[in-house]
Amino acid sequence: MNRATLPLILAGLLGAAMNCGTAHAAGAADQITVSDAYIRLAPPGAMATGAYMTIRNAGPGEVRVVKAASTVSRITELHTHLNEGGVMKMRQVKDIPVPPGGETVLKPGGLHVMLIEMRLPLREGDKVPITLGLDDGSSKVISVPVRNPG
Amino acid sequence: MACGHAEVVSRAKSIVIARVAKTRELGEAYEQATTEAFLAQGQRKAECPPRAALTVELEIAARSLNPPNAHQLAATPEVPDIGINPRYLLQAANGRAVMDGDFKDRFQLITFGYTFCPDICPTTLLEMAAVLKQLGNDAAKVQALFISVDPERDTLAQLRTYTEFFDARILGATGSPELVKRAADNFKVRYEKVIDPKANPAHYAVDHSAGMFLLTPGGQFLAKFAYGKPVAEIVARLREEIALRASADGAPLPGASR
Repeated sequence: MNRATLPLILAGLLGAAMNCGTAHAAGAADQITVSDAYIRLAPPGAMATGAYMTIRNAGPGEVRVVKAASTVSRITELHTHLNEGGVMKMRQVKDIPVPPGGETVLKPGGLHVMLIEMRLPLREGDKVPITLGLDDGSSKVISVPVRNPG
Repeated sequence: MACGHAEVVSRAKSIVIARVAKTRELGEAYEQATTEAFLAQGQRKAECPPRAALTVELEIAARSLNPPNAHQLAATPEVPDIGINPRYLLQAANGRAVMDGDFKDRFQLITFGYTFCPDICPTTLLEMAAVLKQLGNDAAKVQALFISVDPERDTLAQLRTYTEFFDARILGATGSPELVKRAADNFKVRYEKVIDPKANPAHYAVDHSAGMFLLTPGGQFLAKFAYGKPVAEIVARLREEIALRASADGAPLPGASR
């Protein structure tokens, strides 16, 4: 994987409707495009924050995101929320499926990539590489800007 | 009911349930009066009173009834929005004690959560901050509160930093586990620590009831806004309530000086 080219390739991520797969990964990663990705700017001292994005799958078969990793947090997990009678329950999920020819949206109140134990405080505008590991063993690195949704 | 003021109806029911003795005689009287009034409204095809006016009438009537009995309410089974008795005594992030009756001139907009929460709580606090911003000068008539249900991890200093990030007017509060439990029970807020046996035990999540509560100046329960309720609707409701109180200022409600 050529990480050096990523900032160039992904520089326009926030505004871009779509980021096409690049030649750095083989397999399912080539079928996957990620758009509208952002990391929620966390309050100072917060132990955790969430990353959100839309994952599109152009391929003929389902692709599952099975893990996520980031250099900025010690732990990176895939999470969802269940709303049970107004009680919000955050739970780790083993994967996030993306249907063939379809998309899965990670958004507040639902699926998200959770970054836990930040290694350094993030500032608005920072771009953070997040690696999405897919079920066929391939992986996709995306550059995710830190945004204050307020 | 005939006028479709569902919120007023639900408030009226909760007052009756919370404050009126549950005897057969009173139950029948309640049924009969409700039916008669409903039919009368339908036959007269009269103009419906505005919801605001009904709300005032209702609150005046409520004050003439017995005050709610905190012990009874805490023991009643959990029914959303019914029997909420918004009493709390906690410690604010500024180090002072804070309780429901402290804000005699201000509405209270309250949410429960915890600072480790990466998603629901920041979303709710962003919305709370947006409500305050959109209220403009009227925001001075509202005290926003964030009550942490995670006193083990949430220090007062941490709470303060956390809420100030969203809006310096949001006051963080928490307390001993017992006081937090009592406050949550009174609001019918449920919360529970969830420890993943495979994960670092310090990283537990806390399931909790999301959404916001609105209390009147003086601390009576007024409304509950479910998680995800649009900010514009919350602002509209607050403006309505603020206008209502302003017009009632000339004729203070009985007991308003309490």
